[in-house]
Amino acid sequence: MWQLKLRHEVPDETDSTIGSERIAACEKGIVVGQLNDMKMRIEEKIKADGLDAAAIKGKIGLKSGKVLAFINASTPDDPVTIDKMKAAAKEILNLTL
Amino acid sequence: MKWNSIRTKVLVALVACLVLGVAGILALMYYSFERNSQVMALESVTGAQKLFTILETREISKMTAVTEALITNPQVRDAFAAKDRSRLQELTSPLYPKFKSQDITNWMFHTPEPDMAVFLRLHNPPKSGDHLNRFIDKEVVRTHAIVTGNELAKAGFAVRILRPFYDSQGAVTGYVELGEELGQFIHTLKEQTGNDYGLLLSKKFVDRQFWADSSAVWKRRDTWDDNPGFVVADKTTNSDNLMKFDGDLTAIPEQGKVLERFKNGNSVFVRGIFPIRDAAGNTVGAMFVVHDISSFYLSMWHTQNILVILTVLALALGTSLVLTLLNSLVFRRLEQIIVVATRVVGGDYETEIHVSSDDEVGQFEQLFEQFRHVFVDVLAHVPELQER
Repeated sequence: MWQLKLRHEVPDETDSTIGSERIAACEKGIVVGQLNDMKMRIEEKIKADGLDAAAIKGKIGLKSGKVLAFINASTPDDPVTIDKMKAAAKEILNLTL
Repeated sequence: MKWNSIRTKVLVALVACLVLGVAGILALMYYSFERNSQVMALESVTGAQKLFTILETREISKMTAVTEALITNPQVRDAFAAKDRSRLQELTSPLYPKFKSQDITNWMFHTPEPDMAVFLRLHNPPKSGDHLNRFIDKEVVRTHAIVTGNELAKAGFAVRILRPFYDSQGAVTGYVELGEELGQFIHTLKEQTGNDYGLLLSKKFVDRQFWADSSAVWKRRDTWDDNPGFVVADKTTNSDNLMKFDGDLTAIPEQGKVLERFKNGNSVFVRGIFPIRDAAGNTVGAMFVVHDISSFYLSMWHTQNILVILTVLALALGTSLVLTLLNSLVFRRLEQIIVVATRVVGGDYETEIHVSSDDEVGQFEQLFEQFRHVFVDVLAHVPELQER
């Protein structure tokens, strides 16, 4: 049975399972990890500044065209999405990725 | 402020309405003022013309009655029939000051045709024997009836009455003439209407030397060169600015003509002019009418200011109301939908959209809330979000 987990309930990126997914993706020749790193930096910044996580992530998601909840260690590093994510983080959080 | 937002566009539209409204009021007031001042000027001209005609008729009636009394006086009749100048002067000269006090300034006896010379000039007794050869002289000889009308002569521009004098047998022994200076009329006109008037005489009918001489006698400036086509014989104001006319007196229509509006200091005036014809029908002069419309102008200005202020207030209030309504009925609710949509994308699947009304935006809120449910349900089946 599928069960919806909210973003804050999703296991942390340091989970060893996720590390193994990244290795698996790399073995398949797919470049991964950058988007996930960016997501983590965004989350760190939100946490550090005490911001409304849902509102900020929503804005960045809408701006970049990628829902942050969908990004994990095995998400391919699409250059267009990376650029959009950088621009959105800069504009909304003044965060240079 | 975002220039492409609906709020800005609505605000711009309302401000445009405000500007158009104020401009419309200003244009309407200007048009109204132009039209009213034109009507007032026309009324001043036609009113003055009617009053002038009434005064002329009244004075002619008065002089007719006076001459009636003269020709029925046997002593005067006999003295004139006998061409006894001394006796005639003796009988009539005591009356002249009384006549003069009633504005009858010219009084003459003329010998009968064919000589038709001035026999006795009560307003200037030493001068006699001259021939005037005016239209009214010829007309009274032709008709042997009362001839009246305006006549421009060296003595001035006057309304005159000339009628035959008969002896006891009914034969014409000569003519008697009475006249009143038209210049006096303008002062009566001013008393009656409050307007200022100027009596203009066409230079074609005025002797240059006589004008210079009379100016010297009356110790007034020779104004011959002030205007190209006419001289100002008399006026009710000391201001030279009020009497200005560049046109041809003979071209003034019978019913008169409204000239321009002008400002002099803090006062606003309208000008008009109507022709004055002599007994032969020639336009020998014109009456210049100046009507002060300052009070009307101020009143219009006051009304205009009130209207502009009221319009600005009403439209500002309307703008404020429209924006407030748009804000509460549309913008704020749309912003709420955007906030919820953003939060859902950001991972907050619990925030609901509160459907506040069943109006157009309310229907959209309801649709979006249903969409949010579907979206959350879809998310529940996304592998990335599943608990591993």
